[in-house]
Amino acid sequence: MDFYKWFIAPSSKIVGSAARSRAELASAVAVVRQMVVLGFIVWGALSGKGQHPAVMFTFITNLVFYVFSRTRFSNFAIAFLFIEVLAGIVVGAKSTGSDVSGLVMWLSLGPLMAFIILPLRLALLDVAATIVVAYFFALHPDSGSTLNSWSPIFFLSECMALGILGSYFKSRAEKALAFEQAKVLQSSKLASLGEMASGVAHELNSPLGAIVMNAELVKDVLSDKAEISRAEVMTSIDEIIKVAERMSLIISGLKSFARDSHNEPVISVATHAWIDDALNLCGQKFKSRGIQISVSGDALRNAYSFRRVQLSQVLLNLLNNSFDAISANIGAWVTVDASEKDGQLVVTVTDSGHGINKATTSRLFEPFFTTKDIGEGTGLGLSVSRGIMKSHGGSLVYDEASPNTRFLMKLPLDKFEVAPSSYSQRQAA
Amino acid sequence: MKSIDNLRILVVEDDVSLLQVTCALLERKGVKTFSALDGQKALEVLAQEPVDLVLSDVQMPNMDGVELLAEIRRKNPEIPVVLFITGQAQLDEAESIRLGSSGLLRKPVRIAVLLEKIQSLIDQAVIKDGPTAG
Repeated sequence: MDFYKWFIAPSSKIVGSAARSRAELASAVAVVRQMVVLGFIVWGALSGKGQHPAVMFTFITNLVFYVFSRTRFSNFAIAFLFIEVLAGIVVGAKSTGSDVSGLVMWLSLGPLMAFIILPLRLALLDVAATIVVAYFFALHPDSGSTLNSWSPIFFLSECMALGILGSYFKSRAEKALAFEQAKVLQSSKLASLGEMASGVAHELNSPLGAIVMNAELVKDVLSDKAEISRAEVMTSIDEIIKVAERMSLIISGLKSFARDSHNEPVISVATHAWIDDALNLCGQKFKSRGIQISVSGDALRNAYSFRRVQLSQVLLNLLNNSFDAISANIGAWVTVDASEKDGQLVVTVTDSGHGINKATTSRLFEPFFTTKDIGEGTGLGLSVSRGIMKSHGGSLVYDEASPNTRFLMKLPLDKFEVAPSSYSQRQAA
Repeated sequence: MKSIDNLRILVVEDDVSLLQVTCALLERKGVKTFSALDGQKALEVLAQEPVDLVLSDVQMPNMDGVELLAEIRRKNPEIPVVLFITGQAQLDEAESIRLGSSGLLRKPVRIAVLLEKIQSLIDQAVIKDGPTAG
């Protein structure tokens, strides 16, 4: 049995759902603790000793803790646990001499110490400590006072043992999680690679065709028996040069994408550089359909430490979605704006479309959800893009309030160290 | 019997440079050309102009070459359509014939190959003699 899976919530397989997994862990902790406490209440009733007020106190507080942990106030549940632990100590201290006060101390002190010493292992320690105490009480029902005198030593050794056990399971869980994430990333990378490859083949073949055809036109003109039209030859040669330059831009854009973006290092890169990477790959497509692309913003010249290829991949994805949506419209346009707002780099991609319908909006970021025809899109673009943004500590959001279709790439600048802008330094010098 | 120099051909291609030069080359051979940037625009041209042949790229926005082919087969079963592909995986010969095309040409297309293909369509009477279908 994969015991370690119990320590990670199923939802945490997807990057960035730490809050949810914390909530699930908190509620699991509450369930186990409650079972133990209930056992003591039943034991008290059956043995005729009745219930100690401290046990009832723990029962009620734990119930509240459980309810919190199941709602969206899960963070509050953790805070509540802390309060409960402090209160438990007070109650426990007032009940000295009682057999169950030791239990209350254990239930309370364990998590408190863990909270201070080993914050990450709080939940693991708490569950394990409860189980050990319950087991001990089951074996020695009358040993409450003995336990009290030995409890500091028990507690410390237990802390150490469970700390080691906890970190073992935690690292196994982390490894499993990392493995799952790598698998998801790899498959999505392959999917987006496939999507890109077919696009690039087309992007390159068409200009290549134009070059071949222009060369043939020149040949044809030169073989004319009548007077050779110099103007026609020059036009074709100019066209060949222009198209070849366009191809070189596409290839340079492609080269940056060919790098392994998963293990891509975080480097200082000017915002305009990764935006250009994306524009070089798809700009011609927009131009050929008469779609205006304008790029603006005060953060274009600033350099930040990001993963360049991954960010341009996200942008390319947004631009391609825009293209598919608006290329049929007359007077279509796309704007890309890069500005700093509230400690974030916000890159806004807006197109002339009039937003996305409600039904689609709610599913936009679902993996494999697509409105494109079969074979046209994998439905992974936006979900992978969101994953990339999350891995930068940022987010990708659809702006419902905008009258035009708008997506925001938000990148916190405090997560990634802001590097001095070599570009603006050069400008200043 | 029709000959290349009196044909009316619609070229459908989303790359403007390629579209222009293809038309220029065909015009030099005496062909009257019409151009469209995608399938939808091609249908608009077809609704107004009678043509003998449609040369169309497959990968295009709005309406791609395969969709265009289906529309033409539905509306004007007589007009032959030759598709430009970027690779075999995009569309194979058998599949394209099943869909009703008159052949595939792989990009980049040499003008000699294109003219040869057009000539063979005339020889096989795929491009019909007589008044141009509209």
